[in-house]
Amino acid sequence: MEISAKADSKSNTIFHQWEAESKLISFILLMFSFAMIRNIELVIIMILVSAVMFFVSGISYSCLLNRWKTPAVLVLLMGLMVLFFSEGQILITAGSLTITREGLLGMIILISRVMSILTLIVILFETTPFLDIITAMHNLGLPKILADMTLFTVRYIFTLNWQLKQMKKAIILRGFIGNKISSWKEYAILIGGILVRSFEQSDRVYKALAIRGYSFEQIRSAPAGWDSRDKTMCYSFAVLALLISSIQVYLNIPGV
Amino acid sequence: MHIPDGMLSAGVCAAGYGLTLLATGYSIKKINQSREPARDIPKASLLTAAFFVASLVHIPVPPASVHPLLNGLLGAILGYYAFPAILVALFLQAVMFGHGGITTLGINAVIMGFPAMVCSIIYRRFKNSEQSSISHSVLSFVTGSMGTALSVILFVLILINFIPANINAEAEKIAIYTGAAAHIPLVIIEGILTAFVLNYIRKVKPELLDTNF
Repeated sequence: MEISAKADSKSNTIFHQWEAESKLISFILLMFSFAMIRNIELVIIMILVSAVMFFVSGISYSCLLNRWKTPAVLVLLMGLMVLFFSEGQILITAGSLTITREGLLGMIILISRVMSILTLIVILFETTPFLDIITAMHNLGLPKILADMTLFTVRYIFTLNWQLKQMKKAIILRGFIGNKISSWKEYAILIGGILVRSFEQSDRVYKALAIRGYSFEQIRSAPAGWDSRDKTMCYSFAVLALLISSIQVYLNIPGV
Repeated sequence: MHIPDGMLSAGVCAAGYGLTLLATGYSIKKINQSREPARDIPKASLLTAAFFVASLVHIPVPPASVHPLLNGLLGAILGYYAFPAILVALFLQAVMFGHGGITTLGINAVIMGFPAMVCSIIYRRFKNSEQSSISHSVLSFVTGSMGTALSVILFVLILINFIPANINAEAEKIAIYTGAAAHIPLVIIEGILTAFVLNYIRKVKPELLDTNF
């Protein structure tokens, strides 16, 4: 997923038109309600909700699959651990390994939850320009230090990454072979070099900002007005999140 | 070493956000007390970007390679900015690459940020300009390896203890020990790398280490 000032401009779905502040609140509520899910009955609802949202968002499958791939190894390892080492009603025994009903359900719930929340994250960040997200977070109370640091960091990641690649290319041309343990010192110099360069560059950046009037005052931009569609979407998401959480709390009561 | 979304319960995620709020609040309070926060923010941000980029460098550990965490080094250099810097970097990693998550951002910040704060205190407490190269190397090694070791301990304990399932106690114990043991080489590599980097900066740009962020 790439950070850009614009969201995917090819689509113009309801998620793309949704105002960032109310969208952020709604998605976070829904993500946390998904994180609460412990019962297989609610897993079906969770998968349905995230699948419907994904189809409405018009995002490509490849984008979603790329996002699912990243945590796959860790999630699979934890899923297998839950599958084979959970106590409960034994379903299958193969040698020293046993699969219990609780283990099987636990693994299904864990993997479904990870995939559903990741789907929501893909929808949120693919349909909202990054700058709008940071502005919305700032308007919702994110301290100026964090908002400024996020924007400055994003601005310079790509520049510094390019510089690092150039530095690496330069030392390779001077005979550096980077695949041996003995090359750790060269890697350390590479890392130290990029830190020193960024430190030197930061002074120039500050001076350039200062003459353009940059200061440390907490200024919030005027909150974008929520139109009736934004309000309807936000309330619908909040009700859905509340419903899922309430059902989960009810199902957690012993004896239910 | 980031926990993805959906692995932990909403309660644990909320507790992570609570701890992160406290640590961020404390850091911001200290930053606001500094003489020129407006000057320091671009500096800390560029260094955050540099750390972000540097953590993507693959260090060869034949037959494979690892990418460093650098949270000990980040703590040593950024001081009070270390926790906000880690929070920003984790947010960007979650958005850009899918490492970590949004619901687990708080807990991941605790895993990476608290050790960085500890390393910051240790490095700044024991560092002095007349220190010999050897004692500075030892201090840097301890700073780097401690950052990673504390993060590994927190990561493994949180992951194993808060995975909601009826996991057998014996299996849980084995998983904790295996998880921790698997990271020992990384702890040593981080220590060596941090010592090299801090010694390099001490020779080339000592004012970077003396900057009172």
